[in-house]
Amino acid sequence: MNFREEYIKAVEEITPDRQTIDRMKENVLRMTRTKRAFPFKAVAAIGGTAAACAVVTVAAVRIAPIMNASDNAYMTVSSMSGAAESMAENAADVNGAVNEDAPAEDEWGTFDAFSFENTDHDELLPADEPNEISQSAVESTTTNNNNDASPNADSENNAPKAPAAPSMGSHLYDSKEAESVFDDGEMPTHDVPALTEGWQYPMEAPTCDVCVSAEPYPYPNDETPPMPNAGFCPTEEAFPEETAEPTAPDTGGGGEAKFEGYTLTIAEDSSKCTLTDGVRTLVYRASSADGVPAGEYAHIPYAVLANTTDGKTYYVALSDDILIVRDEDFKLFGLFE
Amino acid sequence: MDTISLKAGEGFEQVMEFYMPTVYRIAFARVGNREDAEDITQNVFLKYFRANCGFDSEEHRKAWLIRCAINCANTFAGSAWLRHRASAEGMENMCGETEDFTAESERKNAVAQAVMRLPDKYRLVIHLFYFEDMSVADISRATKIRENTVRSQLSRAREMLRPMLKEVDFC
Repeated sequence: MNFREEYIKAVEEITPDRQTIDRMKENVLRMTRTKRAFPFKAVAAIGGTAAACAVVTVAAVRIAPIMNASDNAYMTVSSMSGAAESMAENAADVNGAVNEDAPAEDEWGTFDAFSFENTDHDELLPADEPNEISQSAVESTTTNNNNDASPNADSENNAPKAPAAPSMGSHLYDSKEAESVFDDGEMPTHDVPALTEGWQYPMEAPTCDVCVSAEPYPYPNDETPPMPNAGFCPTEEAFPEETAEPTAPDTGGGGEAKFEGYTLTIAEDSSKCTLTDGVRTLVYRASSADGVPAGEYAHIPYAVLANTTDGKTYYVALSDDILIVRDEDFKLFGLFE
Repeated sequence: MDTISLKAGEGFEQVMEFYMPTVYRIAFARVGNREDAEDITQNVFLKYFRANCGFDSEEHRKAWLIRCAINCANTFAGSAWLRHRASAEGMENMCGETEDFTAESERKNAVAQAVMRLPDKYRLVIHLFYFEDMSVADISRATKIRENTVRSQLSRAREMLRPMLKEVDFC
């Protein structure tokens, strides 16, 4: 007996019996009849890989031109169009207004707080909000950065459409003034203008029969608000009598001053002279006559004024509010103004 | 067997009936376990059915099945689950069935134990050469190993078996 025969006999011992063969056949036939299960795992793997590749491709396509434009240095905010758009949307949301005219991509080139405030306030501050703070008050908040005319300084509509009071979400509160106002940590209210010197309340114009149609604010918004009496009716006496300036003797329209009824009083040191008609007193202070040519004031009409306190007769004339006094010899005695 | 079509889809049950023991023994020679050999055998015939290919001859079909059995057995033997399993289990299964202790049975057990102690690659070559009666060229084609390598593996396997079977009296 050799190894081959012994090995064949040994292996035949492990040959499957009839029952084992039938069982294996039955299992194989049953598996061949059943459909293959849908390969969810393979489909998920392939789909996930494809989706990831698509995302990477789209991102690369969008970033590549930006990187090329910026010479691979860095990406600016302006170059991120998506970021600019999102910021525009956020700005509209913060102000509670739907900003349909969001700035174009270039307008957001240098984004900072100030340039952001330079945007049109008409859009940021809708006019339909309650107006509890005057226009000047709002302007004082945005003085530093608001270079353009106020949206309410419309020439056709002189009665200004006052902007809305800045809300907490408004960009007006991003200004430096607003920061200084709110440094104390208090919640800003509509009384905030009282905290700063620049804040002024609007002044109401008085009404009368003549000026019913007078417009309360005929001034551009960037001008200083008028004084209280500037808007008063022109028919009324603006200044009381006691504060009125004394008027010079009437020249009568002919160029010759009429000093009838006036009394001339010249001080001893010739420092001043006084004209009085009993009611009003005009005081003229001496002016230097040095350098005045001799022929100056020689050809204007003079009045002979004998009613003087020192009893002398003088020739008196008025020219450009300068009182020229000559003595009896018609020599220049002095200039008073 | 002469009337079986060479198409894989035709006469499938007859092909299984005829080649299933051969495939089973090759799988057992590789993995050394009956249950694993059964699983491998079923997987081989399932692939045969799904391949649905035609063969040039009956020898071609046999070579295809042997080659598929070797590949499946190698795949199974390389799995992590089998690598962590005790390697002596197959030998116990193979040698524990015979109850008689005659001289003939003792020789068969000694031969079986000696072969199962061989490394996997030598055990498969010994099985194909001695039991399946395949030539070195056929073994080379089936296992995709060069003929000289097959010869050297056979020689080394015999050298390893010689001391183990020294006490068994081969005429």
